[in-house]
Amino acid sequence: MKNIIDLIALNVTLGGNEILRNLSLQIPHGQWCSVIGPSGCGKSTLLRAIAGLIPCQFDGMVTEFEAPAFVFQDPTLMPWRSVRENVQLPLELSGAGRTNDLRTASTVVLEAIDQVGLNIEDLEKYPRQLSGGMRMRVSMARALVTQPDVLFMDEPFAALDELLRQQLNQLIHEICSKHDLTTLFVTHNVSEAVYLSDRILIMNHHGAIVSDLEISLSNQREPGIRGSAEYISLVHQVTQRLQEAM
Amino acid sequence: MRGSISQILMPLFFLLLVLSLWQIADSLFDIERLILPSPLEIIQESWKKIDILIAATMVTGKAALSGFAISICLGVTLALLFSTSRLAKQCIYPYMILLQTVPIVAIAPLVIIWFGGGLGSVVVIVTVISVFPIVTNVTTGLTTVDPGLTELMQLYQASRIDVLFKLKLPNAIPYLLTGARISAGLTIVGAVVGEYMAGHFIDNRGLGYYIFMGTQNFQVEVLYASILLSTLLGIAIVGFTAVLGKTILSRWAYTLHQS
Repeated sequence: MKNIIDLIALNVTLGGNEILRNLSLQIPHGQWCSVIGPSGCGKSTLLRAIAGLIPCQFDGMVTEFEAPAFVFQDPTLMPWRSVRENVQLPLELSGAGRTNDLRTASTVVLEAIDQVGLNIEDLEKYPRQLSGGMRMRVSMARALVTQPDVLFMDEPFAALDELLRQQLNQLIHEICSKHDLTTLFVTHNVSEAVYLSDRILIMNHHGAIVSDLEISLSNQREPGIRGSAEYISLVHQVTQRLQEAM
Repeated sequence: MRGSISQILMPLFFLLLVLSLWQIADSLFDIERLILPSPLEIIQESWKKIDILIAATMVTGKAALSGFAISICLGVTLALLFSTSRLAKQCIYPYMILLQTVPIVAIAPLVIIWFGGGLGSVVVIVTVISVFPIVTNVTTGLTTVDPGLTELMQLYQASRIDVLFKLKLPNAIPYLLTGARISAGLTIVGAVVGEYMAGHFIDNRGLGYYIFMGTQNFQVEVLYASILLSTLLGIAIVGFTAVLGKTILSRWAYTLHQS
């Protein structure tokens, strides 16, 4: 399958500190790739470097995506904008919100809102009127509204309780599968990574990838799989690899 | 409800008590009028000059509001300059801070020499005293934007105009309103100081002029009435700014709560 991201010898130095060193990575189209590792190992930096948000040096970097989207750890909503206006922001920035595509933009916003499980009544609410989980859904809707081909997610569910986290895991996975999205996902939660991923990358303190694991669970995304011996064994195996990296 | 009523009634009751004691003390001890006229004397004398005093309040209010409006425009413009040009900020901003520490009564005579002894000078003095809180607050608002939102704009390749109008300026609104609330109180100080020094050159004289003349001519009742009216004017401007700010800020409540 064609690689949508192809990195050769990526180096990132921020504030004089070498965060990522000589990192090479290929991610095929449609793959859900999770990145785990100890705090400060450069997981988020890797995502930002590939998304073009921070300067980096490389021997080769081919990114075949045209419409990237990012879901941050915090919902990062504009508190002065309603849910509708927040979700619509990427369209406005691309010009769709202020041309005669307004009707189309409105439809796309409604579709995105619907996909993440928000109601139409929530459209005119402001972020302060929403719960943490709802804010994260708005953030997801904003990412989806441009119909992206790559989705970067930087610990988006870290601040949520376990039940809500599992619900949103299920939801985002269904959306990504439906739209055949390539996903690069950073998390600290091994169980979440195993549940969602086709592939898990483990990074060490030196900003290097030390394990590259293919995950091939049967019926992987059925919620019931979390109790299966196969899943538990896999979580245990990845946890061990992670501990070795620390 | 009962709490909010007592919050209004208790200070009023206390004020009434102080005024009554003041009036009784004046009758009992026969205090020299020049030192402390009784509340009734102040009211009687002020009532005779009520037209002049109301006109003076309007003049002072006009000078204060004109300077306030200029401060907001100038303050936001300077803040935009400082937030976009590091060089400008490095060169000018320290002097802005330094100038803020110079007492306004020391600057006022210079302003009168440069701009003449008229309403213009009073407005300039108001602007000088009230522009700093707006510059410093708006500069902070324009530069302390949520890094996640900055990255979001970067991801969608937002133009500089979009970053300014969709992110930086809305982010700076709460800071502008905080600065405006501080400046609002200073505008009356500036207007009264300006009129105190330059007020006699103006046909329509403000409260600062009557404070000056009240002192010079021993018209202590006029002096007291002018002080009271300038205080009420200050409360009105600060109150209006606070209510306006609260209304606008309802959208920003989440941000303020978070910070």
